[in-house]
Amino acid sequence: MKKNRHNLDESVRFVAQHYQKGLFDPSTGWRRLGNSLPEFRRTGHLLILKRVAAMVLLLLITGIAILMIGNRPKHLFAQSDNTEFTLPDQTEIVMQKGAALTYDHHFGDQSRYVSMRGDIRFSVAHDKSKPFIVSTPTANITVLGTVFDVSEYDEGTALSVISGKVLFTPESPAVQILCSSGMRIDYKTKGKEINVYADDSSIFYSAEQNVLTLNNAPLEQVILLLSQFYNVKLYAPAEELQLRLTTSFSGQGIIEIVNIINFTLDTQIQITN
Amino acid sequence: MQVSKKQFSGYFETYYRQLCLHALHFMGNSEDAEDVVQEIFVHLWDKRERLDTVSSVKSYLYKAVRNNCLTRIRDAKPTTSIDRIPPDQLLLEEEQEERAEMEARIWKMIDELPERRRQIFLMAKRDGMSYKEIAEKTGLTVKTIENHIFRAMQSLRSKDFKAYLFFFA
Repeated sequence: MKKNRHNLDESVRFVAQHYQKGLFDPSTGWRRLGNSLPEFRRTGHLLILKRVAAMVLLLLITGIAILMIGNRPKHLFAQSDNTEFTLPDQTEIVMQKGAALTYDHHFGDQSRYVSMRGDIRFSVAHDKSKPFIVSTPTANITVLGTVFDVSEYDEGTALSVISGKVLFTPESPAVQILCSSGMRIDYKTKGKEINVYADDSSIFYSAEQNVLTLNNAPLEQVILLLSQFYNVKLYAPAEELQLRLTTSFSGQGIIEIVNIINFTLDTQIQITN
Repeated sequence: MQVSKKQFSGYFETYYRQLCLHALHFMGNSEDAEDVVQEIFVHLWDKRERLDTVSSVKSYLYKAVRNNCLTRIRDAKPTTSIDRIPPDQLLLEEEQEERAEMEARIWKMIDELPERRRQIFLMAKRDGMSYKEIAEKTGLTVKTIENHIFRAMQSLRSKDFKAYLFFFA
């Protein structure tokens, strides 16, 4: 070791005297060797190609990883009751224990779509251009107003509108039910039953049994439901829409139902197609 | 002993520069030194399947370079070739290998110095310029030149020392 240390200055001088940038460079030497050994000429190129390919692959993997991490859906899960959270659009939610909510990185771009399980109250931020849609395994709820509760359970979905208006669409039958402040909907997948409750009225419909029971139901709501259940257009004069109807239909066709209503309430409801 | 393509490129990457410096001590100029080393690697590849008696490729390469250089010197004109033989040819082969390895490390360290510091370092060590002469040429103060040289040497000494400890301590 002493000898090496002693000779360091001598070696430094020797190297400095002959030093030229790039001289004795193994990469340059390797390319030159390719002239004498042709089998290494391609290997040299291949080596570069391999390095380039490796770099490209590395960049690709990194890019995909970043993209995947960036695109990963956001999952919220409530470990206790009344867990509060604010979504990116400033919609506030209160989740009950066990509730889960998922939204992806597109949330807020064109629309506001979330899927959920359990009990969650939504106070939706106003944005008419981007509908707020809540999806449960058994129903879709398109939000037109502000505050509502959604309870998703094994047999169905329940909705309670606190304020504003909400469009409720069960899985089957896929009818749109407009719910305003104070209304509740209970949808059960078994029997495909829909119960719509308002302060002073209720509507029950079972798709399997083809039963429609109305209890002091506003004619406007009845016409809306019937037109969707039977896929027809119904017309009633505006002044008749506030009338109330209490009756039950079972197995009748739409023409018979309209006739019964017109006979009962003395209305002028027409099937227009 | 056989040498695969992968092993061969590994030997080339590891030993090319130090073998060039080893040859440079014999040949005195970089072009001849590189010619020798290129030739040795071509021989190594040609004999890759007939290296039964070779126990260490590194020692084989050093010996081959030394013999090739001495043959070239012998075959050249006596008047010039004798002058080329440096006095330290009496060093043991092992010492010559250690010297070439150290010089390869020094070469790499000079390569890695910042451009300005490398220029100043080479003016001092290669061109033998005094600090005052370098200061006048570069427009810097003598103190700055001293500082550059000191830092360059410090870098060489510390790296060389660490490398030595790594291999031999």
